[in-house]
Amino acid sequence: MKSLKTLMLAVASLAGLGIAGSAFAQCADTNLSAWSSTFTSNANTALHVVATGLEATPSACKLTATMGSLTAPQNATAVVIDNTPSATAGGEPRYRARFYFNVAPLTGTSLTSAVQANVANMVGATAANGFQQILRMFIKGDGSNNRILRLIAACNNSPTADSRCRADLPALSTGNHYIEVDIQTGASGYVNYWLDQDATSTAGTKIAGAAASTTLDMSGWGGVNQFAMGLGGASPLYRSTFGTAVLSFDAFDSRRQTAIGP
Amino acid sequence: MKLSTVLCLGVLAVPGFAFAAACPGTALTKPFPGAGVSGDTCAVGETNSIATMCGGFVDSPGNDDVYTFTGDGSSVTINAIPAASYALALQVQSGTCGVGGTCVNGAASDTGVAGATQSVTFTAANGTVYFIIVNSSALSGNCGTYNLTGNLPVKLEKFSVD
Repeated sequence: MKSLKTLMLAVASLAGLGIAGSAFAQCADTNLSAWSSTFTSNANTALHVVATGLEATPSACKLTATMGSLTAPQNATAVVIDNTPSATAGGEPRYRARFYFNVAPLTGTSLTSAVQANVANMVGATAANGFQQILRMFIKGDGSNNRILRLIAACNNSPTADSRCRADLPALSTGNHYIEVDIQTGASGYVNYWLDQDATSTAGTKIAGAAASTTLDMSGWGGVNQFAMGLGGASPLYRSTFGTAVLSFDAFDSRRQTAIGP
Repeated sequence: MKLSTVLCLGVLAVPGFAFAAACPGTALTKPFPGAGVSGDTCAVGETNSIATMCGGFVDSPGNDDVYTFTGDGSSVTINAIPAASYALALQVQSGTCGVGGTCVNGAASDTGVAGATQSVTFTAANGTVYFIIVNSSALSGNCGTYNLTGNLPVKLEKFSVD
C-alpha cells in the first residue's frame, strides 16, 4: 500500500497569515523540479506552475501546458515525467494514478472528432507490437463538438486487432475534472477507471477487449515504469486550431493498489 | 595590439562503422572531417531499440541509431539529412539512453516530411553525456539512409590581447 508519488503542485496555505499575494508568488516554475524530468520540445511549447489549483477545495497552484503556436510542429510536446515506478525491476505490476485536469479551452464548432491530443501516458518496461505505452489518455472531440477523454490500453486481445483496447468516456463539462486509473498488468490484466467518481467508494468501469472481455492480455509490456502528463502527440487539426490553448493539470498521485479518491 | 585566438571547429564523424549502434550509442570523437557521418537505419542489424521517449509522448516506431558525446558548455548544432524517401526525426537525451532518459528541452525535430533535414541546437552542459537519437518520424515508421553533420562544441581555446 505504498504511496509511490504525490505531486500536488501546491504550496502551504498562507491564508491564515492574510498574505493574499503570497500563494501567487510561490506558484513558480521551480516547483517543476518535483518531477523526475520535464520536456518542452521547442521554444513555443511551455510548462508553468500558476495559481490556482483544480481540486474542489483548491490548492495554491496548478500545472499548465501549451504548444504555444497554431503552427506547432507534429512533435510539439510539453510534459512532466515521473520515473518513480521504474525503481521496481520490470516496472510496477499494479499501478494506480489520479490527477485533476481542465480542458475547457477546447470548445466550439472547431472541436471535431479530428481534434486530438495526448495528455497522459503510463509507459511500460518493455515494448511490444511497436509501442511501449501501457495506457494512453487523449483529449479529443467526439463528433458533436464535445470534449471527451479516450483511453487506449495496450492489449493482445484487441477488438480492433491492433493491440489497442479503447474506451471513450462521457462528454466533459466546462470546469475541473479528475480521473483515476487502476492498472493490473500481465496476461490477466485490466484497466479500471473513474472519471469524476470516488474510487474509494465506487466500482469504476473497465476497458473492454475483444468479445467485451474486461480481462486484458497485457503481457509483453511489463509493469509500469513511467508516468507522464501534459500535452503532445497532437493531430494536425488540434495544432492548427487549438495549438495555443492552455490546458491545466493538478494533484497527481500514484500508488500500487490502494484507491486514491478525490 | 595583437590578437591571438584559437578556435576549435568541427563537424561530426565516426569513421569505419558498418551500422550505428543502439543505446548506449556510438561515440562521436574528434577530429571531425567535413563529410559528417553516414548511416542507414534500414541496414542489416538495425533495430527499433527505442519505441518511445519523453514520457511516451514522442514515438519512435521505426529503427533508430544513437550517437553520443560529452558536452563542454558550448552550443551544439546537429543536422540529420535524410534520403528523399525517408522521414526521420532527431531527438537529444541526457542522463540515460532510451525510455528513461531526460529529453533535452528544445532539442527535438520532427516535421514529418520525407527528405526534410531535421536540425537541433542546444547548449551542451560541461561534462554531461548526450545521446543523439536518429529515428523515424512518429507518423512514418520507415527507415533509410542519412547523413549527420553539424558542430560539436565550438570552443574558444585561447584568447589574449597583448
